[in-house]
Amino acid sequence: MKDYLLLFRGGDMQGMSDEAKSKSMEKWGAWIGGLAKEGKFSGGDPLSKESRLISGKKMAITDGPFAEAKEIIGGYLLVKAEDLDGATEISKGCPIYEYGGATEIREIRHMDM
Amino acid sequence: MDVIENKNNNDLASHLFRVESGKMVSVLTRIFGLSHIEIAEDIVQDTFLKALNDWGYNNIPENPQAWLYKVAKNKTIDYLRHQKHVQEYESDLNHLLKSEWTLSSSVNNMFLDNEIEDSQLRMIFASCHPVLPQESQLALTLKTLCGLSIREISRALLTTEANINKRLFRAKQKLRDEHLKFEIPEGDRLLERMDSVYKVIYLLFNEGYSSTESEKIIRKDLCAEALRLCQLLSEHTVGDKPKTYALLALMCFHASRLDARTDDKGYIILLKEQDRQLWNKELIAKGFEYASKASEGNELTEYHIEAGIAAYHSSASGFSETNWEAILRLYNMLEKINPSPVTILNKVIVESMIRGSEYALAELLKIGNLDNYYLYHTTLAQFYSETGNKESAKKHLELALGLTNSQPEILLIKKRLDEMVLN
Repeated sequence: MKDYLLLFRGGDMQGMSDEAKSKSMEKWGAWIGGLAKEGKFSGGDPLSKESRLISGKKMAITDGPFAEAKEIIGGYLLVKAEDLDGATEISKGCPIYEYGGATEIREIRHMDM
Repeated sequence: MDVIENKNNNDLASHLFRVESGKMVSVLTRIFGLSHIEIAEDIVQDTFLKALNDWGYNNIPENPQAWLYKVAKNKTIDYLRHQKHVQEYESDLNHLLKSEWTLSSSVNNMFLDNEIEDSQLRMIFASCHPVLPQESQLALTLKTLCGLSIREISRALLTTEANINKRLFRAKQKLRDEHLKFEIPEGDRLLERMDSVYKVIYLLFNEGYSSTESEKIIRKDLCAEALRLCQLLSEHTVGDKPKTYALLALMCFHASRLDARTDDKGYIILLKEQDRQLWNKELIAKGFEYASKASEGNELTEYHIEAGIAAYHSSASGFSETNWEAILRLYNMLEKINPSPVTILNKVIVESMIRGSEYALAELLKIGNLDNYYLYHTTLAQFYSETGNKESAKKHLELALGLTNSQPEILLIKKRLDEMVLN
């Protein structure tokens, strides 16, 4: 088993009714709950929009957001899968696509030095 | 079951706390795991402190239960957030409690009605786990499920607060050391575990019903709690069994006589002299309802027979109208399943109703192993007195007096000694 980071981008819940929102959160819960039961879920949290960027030798500070709404990272998840295809299968269960979001899958790299 | 109402307890808050404590500790133990039962207890304690503080004397919210749950949930979520990367919980929720995606919804879900019941059932099986000595099972049940304070438990079980603290401490340590799961057992293990649950419920009831020196209010509460836990058991598939209903029937029949058993001064009133109008008809009706459910299937347990005996008493219009022949047949069956000296003693008492005191006295003298049991001596005294042997009757009453610490029993024996002098 390898470790993967799922990055959730975009997916705006703002226009949704409270009922639709809570329905959607239930789906998130069920999806993650299912992964946990199979031992494939290692962690992860949703992220709030407020952000700040520090860059350069002078550590210049800019307040976000830095991307188009559909590019903003809304959360992350750490999962276990056999390979990238397995992680892709896992990601297909995410409810984010129902409201315009996308998932980026990255394998956790082992730094062997 | 609220049939046994607690007339003297006007304090809504303390009653509410006791009822809700058992539910919340069970739910939170489900969340944190059996090894962390103390965290659950601490959070529930904090919740009550906040309630006392916020409610003041006259400001109880409209839905106090919902208020308590909300505070307990928030405290739980705060605690879990704080411990996110520090502590592992052995409950199946562990991972879900560590992610903000699922933390608050998981905690919320555990407070849904059916989950509360499920958690209480898990707690029953944990508290009555066979790795614990029986006295600890009782103390733990009273603490975690019935929400009794250490002081109340010590009064109910007739021991010191220090002793109860020790028992609870060791019991929790044992649960931790054994890495027991907070679950409802399945398969073969279930049967064995059910038996220890039945025993604890029955003991709990007997602690309340038998005339110990503890106060009447606590005794009634214990009976009501035993009934409540047994009902909870019966509502779940694991407990929806004839034996559960037999135990429920038995307890209802006995509980129906609680008010008639003692007078205002705390004197015991024997069955023969009880005012049958005071018997709780609602509980008797409930008893028959459960008894009929208990007879579905072909299982015949001790509880079935004891419920049958109690049913004959409950349906007799008077002491002399009691169907002693039928009761004797049931005692004979009981003797085959459980030939304990106490069973035989009770059987002999019934025989005396049918065949007279002379015969019963001879039978009673054949029983061994009961020299230290006060009821053996009071029964002997009864038969001696009925057969005109006052000297022996007096001797056995005095022996009985030295064998019980129960204040009502002592009063009763003294009353009988006094009557003997007068006659």
